[in-house]
Amino acid sequence: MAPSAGGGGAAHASADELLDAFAARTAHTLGAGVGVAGGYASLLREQHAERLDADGLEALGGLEGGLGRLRLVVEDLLELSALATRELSVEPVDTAAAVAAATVGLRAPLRAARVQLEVGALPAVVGDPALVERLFHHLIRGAVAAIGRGPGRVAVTGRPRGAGVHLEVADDGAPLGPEGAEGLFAPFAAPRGGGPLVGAGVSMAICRRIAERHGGSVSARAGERAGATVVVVLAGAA
Amino acid sequence: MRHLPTESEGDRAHDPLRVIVADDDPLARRVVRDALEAGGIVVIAEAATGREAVELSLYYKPDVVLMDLVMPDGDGIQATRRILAEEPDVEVVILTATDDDDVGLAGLRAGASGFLCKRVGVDALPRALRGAVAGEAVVSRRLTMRLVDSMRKVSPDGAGIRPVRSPLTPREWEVLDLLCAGQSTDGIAEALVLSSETVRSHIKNLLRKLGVSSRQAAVEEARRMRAGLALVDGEGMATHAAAA
Repeated sequence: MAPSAGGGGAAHASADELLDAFAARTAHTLGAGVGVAGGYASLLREQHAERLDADGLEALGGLEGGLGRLRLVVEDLLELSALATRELSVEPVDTAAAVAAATVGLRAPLRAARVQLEVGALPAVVGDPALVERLFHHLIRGAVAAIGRGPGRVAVTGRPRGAGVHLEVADDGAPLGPEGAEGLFAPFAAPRGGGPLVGAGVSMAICRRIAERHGGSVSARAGERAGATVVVVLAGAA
Repeated sequence: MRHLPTESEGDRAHDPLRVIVADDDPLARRVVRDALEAGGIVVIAEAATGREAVELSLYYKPDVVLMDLVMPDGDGIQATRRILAEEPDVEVVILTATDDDDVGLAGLRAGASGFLCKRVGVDALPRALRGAVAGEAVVSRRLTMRLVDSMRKVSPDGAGIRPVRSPLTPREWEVLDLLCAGQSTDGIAEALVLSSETVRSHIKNLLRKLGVSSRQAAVEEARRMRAGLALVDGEGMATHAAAA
């Protein structure tokens, strides 16, 4: 994590540690409740659904949908809190393959929001393959959340620049908030867009953490007509 | 169902226990792994997510899965249900940071053989896991008391008790309960607001699943199963229909 100016590095690190501890504690407390509720929802679905009428089944579906949202919140918080201490396994990463893997779990929301996902030629980078995949997952998820109900367009492009690679994810969704590009990457900052994909609202913070763990950076700029473009700089693979 | 081991099973009983440890915290996994291996247990794989726990369990078919509750990509209770749906002979013991009995009950309802709080101390884990494989319920004394209380609410003949892991559907158990109460096909149909044909179909299915050929044999089989459950003698955790 980059230290802040004026000798505030220790304080900055401490704030991140506090945030990680809060995220971990909240994830485990919330996760235990979600696990219990989910277990009983599964029991209802598997063993008692035949005795529910249409209203009961609709209510059960609503319960399961709500639990799905809560699980995403828990998983976001777990992921954020684990990033600081996770050991990296760095190697050349096929960026296009990472994008393809990252979108596997996003097919349904991409389809639901009628999002056209365009992936250009992407240079290879050096990084932890699992984390690079998670980076693209959160970048694309954030873009789809910004598009909301859609339709919309998300473009993933990349180009080498010096020893690094600039990876860009552009969307035509909601614009940047009043705090601008920098505010986008603060944990629990107001996300662009809304809906279940927002999760705990830490997707962009996770992207920043992943980029910084790789010695890279992340930034954003407003889109030309709408939306925003998030730019990640990582080391390129020779 | 427990049975006396055959010769080959008896030999296997002396093999080290094969365990999968599922926890998203790598430090926790290492501590647990060290404790289990110090106790003569072989940790054959580690999982960091619920999905990994399921995939590894279905591949390796361990004796026990020691399962954290809160993990990414599927929590411990979801993972437990998925594992036991495919591999009912695997024992799952949930190990969590909380000693909340409600969490424990949810785990047991999902089919877990036990529920342990991480505060129990890792030195106790090898004995606990061996107990789970030997058919013991691995639960705290307080949770045991809650289970005993629920058992006290059950009628003396055990009517209403159903094993968590059962091939019968809830409806088939309802039909079996009424058979045990001496109801005729028409009586069952009236009680459950079903047609007689549907009741006969349920009876046919439950006879097949219980491996018996008559209603009386099904009633005896149900009583035999419930007698084992009511004693909580290691054949499985009981659940009570009224509390479901």
